[in-house]
Amino acid sequence: MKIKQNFMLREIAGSWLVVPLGERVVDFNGIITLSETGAFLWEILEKGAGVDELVNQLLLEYDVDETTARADVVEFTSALEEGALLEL
Amino acid sequence: MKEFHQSLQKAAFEKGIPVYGGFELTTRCNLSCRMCYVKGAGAGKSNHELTANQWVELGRAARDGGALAVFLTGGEPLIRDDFKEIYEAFCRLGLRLTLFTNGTLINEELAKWLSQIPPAAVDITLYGASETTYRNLCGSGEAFHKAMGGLELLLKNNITTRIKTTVVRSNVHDYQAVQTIALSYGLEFLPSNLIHGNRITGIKNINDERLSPGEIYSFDLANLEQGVCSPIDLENIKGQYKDSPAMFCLAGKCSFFINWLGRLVPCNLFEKPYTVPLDVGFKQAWDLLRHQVTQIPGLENCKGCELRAFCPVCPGRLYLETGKFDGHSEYVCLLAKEKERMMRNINL
Repeated sequence: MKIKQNFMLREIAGSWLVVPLGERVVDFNGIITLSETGAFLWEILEKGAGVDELVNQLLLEYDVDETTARADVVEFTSALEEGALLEL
Repeated sequence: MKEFHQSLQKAAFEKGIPVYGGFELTTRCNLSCRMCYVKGAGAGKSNHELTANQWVELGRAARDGGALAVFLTGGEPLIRDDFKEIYEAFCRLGLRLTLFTNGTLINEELAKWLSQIPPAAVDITLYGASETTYRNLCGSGEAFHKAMGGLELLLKNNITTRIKTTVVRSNVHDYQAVQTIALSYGLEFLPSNLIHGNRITGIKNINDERLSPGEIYSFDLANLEQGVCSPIDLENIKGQYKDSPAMFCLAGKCSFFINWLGRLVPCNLFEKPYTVPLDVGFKQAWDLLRHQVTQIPGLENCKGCELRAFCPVCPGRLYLETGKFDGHSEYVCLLAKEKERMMRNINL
């Protein structure tokens, strides 16, 4: 899975958000707000990663058990898929 | 999303991050509106305008400083030969862009190009609903048809568009018709009838054109009466605002404006204080400006005034009215009195 091109992840005043760039505004005219964990996963997904890799990265970075991490990753990537933000 | 914007604004205000901004790409315009606040600012000096590269450098630096929602304005920004160059770079910076335009320079080719890399929104200002009104107010009757043509091209190309209007004596009779245009296309309508002075000549050329305070609020009241409005606790509001600081808006705290000369100012009403980001870098220019804003004199004449809650007074507006940040403007005082009267009428 990989985030589609032409999105920019930004941290502004303590908030994480994603802004569409250029032609991406045609199909996504808005802003995506993310939690800190969401931003962490987004950054990995910009380069491309599978569910297992995302779970492993979460386990390395955060004090969380695998079941919770996997559930969070699945929920996050499902939301991205639903928003048509991923290249599968 | 509204909650997100509110919390972002609060955090930016507290931390002094310039999340909102305006870029005045030019003061040139193909119209010549009688109440224009910019007209004359660049007369004979268009060669002083910043280059496209300089604007892009400023946009990038503002983005790095935390800018998120910005507008491109003028004058008429589309009048620049290099507008596309500036815009294309801006729309890749990670900003939410709004384009302010009179719409008259939008043709098939431009609308199609814009539709491929659209801004978050285009705000078209309509100055009336007929050739006659445009001729009297803007110096060109033909401009009405061009503006309407531009509007239709934007909509045909699925570009998010909003309608603004500036209500003055020469077009007040067209207000309902302009509103009807906006509604007929299902567009957000953003009217404004509070005109401030020209940045160069102050109020001397706009006095005949702007509505009196009484007219402004009878106008607002008429519009409010079409909707539902809850009673307002006026006495409580008065108590809350009577000792407000001189500048209690976002300007110079989390919003900025870069004028056509590349000067960073608190908002579009101000010619000074200013700093020059192209000389010292955006971050230093912003920090300096924030400090300078705190040095703007307090509103001595307004201290303890119970009408502050209803008053549009600010140092920028007073400067344009009186030539002083803390001058006395009868017009502004009357605006406050009339607004209080309007609020009382709502409560009746």
